[in-house]
Amino acid sequence: MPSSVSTLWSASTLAWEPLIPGWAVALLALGAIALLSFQFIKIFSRVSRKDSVLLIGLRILALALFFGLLLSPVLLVQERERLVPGVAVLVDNSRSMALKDGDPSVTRLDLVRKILGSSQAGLLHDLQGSFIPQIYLFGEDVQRVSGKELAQARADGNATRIQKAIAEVADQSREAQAPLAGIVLLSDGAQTDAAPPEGAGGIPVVAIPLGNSQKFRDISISSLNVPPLGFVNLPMELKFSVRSHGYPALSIPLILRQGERIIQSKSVTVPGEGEEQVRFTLTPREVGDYQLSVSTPARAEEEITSNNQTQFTVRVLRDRIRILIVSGSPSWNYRFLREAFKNDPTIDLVSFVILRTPLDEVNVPENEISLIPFPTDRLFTKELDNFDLIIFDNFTYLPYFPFYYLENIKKFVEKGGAFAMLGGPSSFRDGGYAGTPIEEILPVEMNGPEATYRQNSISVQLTREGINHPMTRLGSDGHSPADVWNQLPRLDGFNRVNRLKRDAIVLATARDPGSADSGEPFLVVSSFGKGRSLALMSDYFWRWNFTAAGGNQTNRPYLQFVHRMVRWLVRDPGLDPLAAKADRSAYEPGEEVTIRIRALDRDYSPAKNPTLTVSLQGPGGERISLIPKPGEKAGDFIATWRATNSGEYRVQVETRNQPANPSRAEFSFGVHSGILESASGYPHLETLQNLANVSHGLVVSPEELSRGGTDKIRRLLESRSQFRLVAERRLKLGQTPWAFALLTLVLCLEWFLRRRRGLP
Amino acid sequence: MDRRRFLLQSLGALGSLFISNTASAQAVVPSHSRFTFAQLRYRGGTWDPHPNAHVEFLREINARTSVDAAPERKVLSLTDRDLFQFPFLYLTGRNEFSPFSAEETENLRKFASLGGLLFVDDASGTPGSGFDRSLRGELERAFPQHPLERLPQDHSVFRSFYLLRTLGGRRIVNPFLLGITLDNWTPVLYTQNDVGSAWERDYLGNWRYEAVPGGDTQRSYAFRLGINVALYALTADYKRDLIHLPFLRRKVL
Repeated sequence: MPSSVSTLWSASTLAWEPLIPGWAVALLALGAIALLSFQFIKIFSRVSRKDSVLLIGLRILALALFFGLLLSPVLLVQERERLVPGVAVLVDNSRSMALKDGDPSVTRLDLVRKILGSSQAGLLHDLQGSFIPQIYLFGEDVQRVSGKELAQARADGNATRIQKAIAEVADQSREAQAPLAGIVLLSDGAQTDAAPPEGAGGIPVVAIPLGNSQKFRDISISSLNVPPLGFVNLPMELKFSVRSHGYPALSIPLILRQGERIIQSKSVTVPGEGEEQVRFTLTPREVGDYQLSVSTPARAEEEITSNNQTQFTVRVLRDRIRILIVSGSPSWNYRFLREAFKNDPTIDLVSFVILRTPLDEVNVPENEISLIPFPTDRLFTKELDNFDLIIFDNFTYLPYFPFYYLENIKKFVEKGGAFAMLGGPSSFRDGGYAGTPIEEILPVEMNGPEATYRQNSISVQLTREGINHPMTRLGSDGHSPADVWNQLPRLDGFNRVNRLKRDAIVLATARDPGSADSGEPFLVVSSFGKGRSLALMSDYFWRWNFTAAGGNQTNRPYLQFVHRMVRWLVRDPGLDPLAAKADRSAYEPGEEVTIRIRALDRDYSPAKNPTLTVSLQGPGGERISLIPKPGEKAGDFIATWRATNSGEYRVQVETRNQPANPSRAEFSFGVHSGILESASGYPHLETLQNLANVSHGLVVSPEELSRGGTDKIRRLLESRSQFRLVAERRLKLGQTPWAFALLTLVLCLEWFLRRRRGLP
Repeated sequence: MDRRRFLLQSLGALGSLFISNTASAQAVVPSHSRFTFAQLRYRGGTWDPHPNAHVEFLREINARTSVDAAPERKVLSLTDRDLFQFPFLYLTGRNEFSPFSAEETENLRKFASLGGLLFVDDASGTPGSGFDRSLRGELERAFPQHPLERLPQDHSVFRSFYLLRTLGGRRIVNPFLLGITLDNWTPVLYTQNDVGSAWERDYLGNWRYEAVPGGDTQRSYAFRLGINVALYALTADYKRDLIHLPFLRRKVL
């Protein structure tokens, strides 16, 4: 930052540089006082009083000169020059500065140009000479411009970040070691970042507010409390603020839309120059990203219409995982599984255990037994869709409900639900499920006489798919998943199945300990429709909990396995083989959108050559295909796209490696111009006043400038004049010949007078 | 007992022996594969005062409930390597017994904290017996922070199968159950009513002991208590689930 010399200015100060230490000077002074006292008494008795005073006075003068020489006085003469300081002139060129406030010919930015004027007239002219004005344009960022560039500037900034602009300018001046005398801020104060006012590192801010709040007409909607996350079937409250400027009390209609579809509407009465809050209650029924907006029609003479709506995205997740487990009898498998589910706060468990079969004895009245009817109709017709996962644990349906309930379960899985069958003497073929819709769901076939429950001692090993699969990739103290599974206790019961279905993935096999064969399917998973299914061929895996923990192992693998089994079955996004997201949720037109994709193979190892399709659906329904490129790590891919038209875009990413069961990830992002800036253009004098107050500056309205306001600004800025030291001279008074000559002269005069009076 | 009843019971005993042999010929079921009545053996005292009590109890639980109970009991000590294959343990006795070793105490603590259930039955039929004194001392050492307390009437063990309002046994020393509760689980249940003796028949099928003063009704409540304890071990607080509440409220009120 340039600054030039204005005037020279001198100043002198006296300093002391003693030749001997101070304590020695003090001792000598005491000695001198004693000597003087002694001499005064002696002289007073011999000569007249007048002569005594004269002689002693000369002696005191001689001693004073002597001590003066010892203390070595130094005269410092400094020459300083006054600097012409810089003044930063910050001009707001955000979109709100294009508003005209009732005057159709002059925008707020035009008014700024008029105030600043040119080198011949205006505020810039008045400041020049005493100061060096430096002009900056700011909106989202700060940019230094020339006067010519200011003349051509457009109000097109997408944000108003006043505090950031002040801080940057102050930092620049500090780094350049050319402090500013002040900052002149020309803005409507409609900042978009809600930054609290802070000082500018000691630099006063002179605020010149633009905009006429009396003539400003606008209705604006802003989000007050819109949770980014919602949960299926749980009502969520969306809270908005509706502001009115320049209108009398109005009844304003509001419409809540999902995409283009109207979901709800209501009216709110907003007082003149006031604000009213409005709430919408939304109960999402499905998981996914909801593109929502709240809007109101534009009114006549409204300054800004883009803030008549606010758009937002709510991601709807599953609230809690609702599991229905039906157990054929009370068993340790049920007991420990129940405990694991009950200890998981994200699981809502409904369990039904068959405590008594139709063949069991009934020897007491019903009111002495705690049994309840098996609500099959309620569970398998009316409330089936309220569950995420259904587990049949060693349960045969035959005595309890008709075949068509199994058809309902099949439809439930086709629509995206999950089903698991756990083994036991009443499971799979022994439970009568061969040839039923349940067999269609499951990844195994169970026809044939061999497919039955056996009480063999078995050990369980992971397959290659099981090592990578998130359900079975259990970790424990640095052990590999295969090691963890190999160390699990043996099981004593096992359901054989006939064969695997085509899309089945075997994660673990069972074999007789010591046997060399490859084993039989033990844990098998697959997809069915939009849902997933699992077959676990034993009712003994509770041993991985109680028996393992009671021995020298831990029940952590059991708990991990149960946790992951549930998450995988209900398609927890964290365990999905395909994940995709954009680096932001909202963009400006022209910005680059980056979509990051993580793709895993069916065995959950990083996908090597996945057939990925990435497509965007724009606000007008147009489809755009993108070609992803490999990222830095195996399985990572990146697709980019330059945002064009404003609106909401839906992204679909698919892998086609398994044509029958493609993986898909979907999400949305928005492209909007001046997302924040369009929210409000109402002049905020209070914001500018606060800035001036905290920086010890002042506020001068445009009208005041011609009525002494400019002089007030000058006085404030000049009070912060800075000086630079040009030269400094040091004159050692005690080391000049004149000092010695004077001392000699005084001593000689005293000696002459003493001789004249006859004194020794 | 009249001659007709004697003959019928003898025929029944023969028949059950035949069925039992046939079943064991069909499938060899490991004793710890289903609900297994595991009984704790300890040093000193009388660890097995009624050696056949489990037979009738297991027959009843198989007959009345869907629990798949192994017909034979398993006898274990607290240091047995198979201890953690059996989450249900029955401990009974009449007299004072030798203190548990440190390893036994630790295993008991571990058994309870991992979800096992210890059902204790004082077979002395008198309050303040030697067995009672020994047991309380061992429980205090194993669970110093968790005293043995009287269980409330709404505890899950009283509704896990039967709605129990009365306790049975050979003698009613205490009309309530004691227990040690860790969080939401009561791994130690203790009755002083000698339910084991109430379950036991002799080789001719007669009840070995009279249940006094309630007779067969009191005996039937001893079976109900045993079944409820087993069901509590297998289902925990299942009967506290919301799905049961309206039904149970209707039956209890």
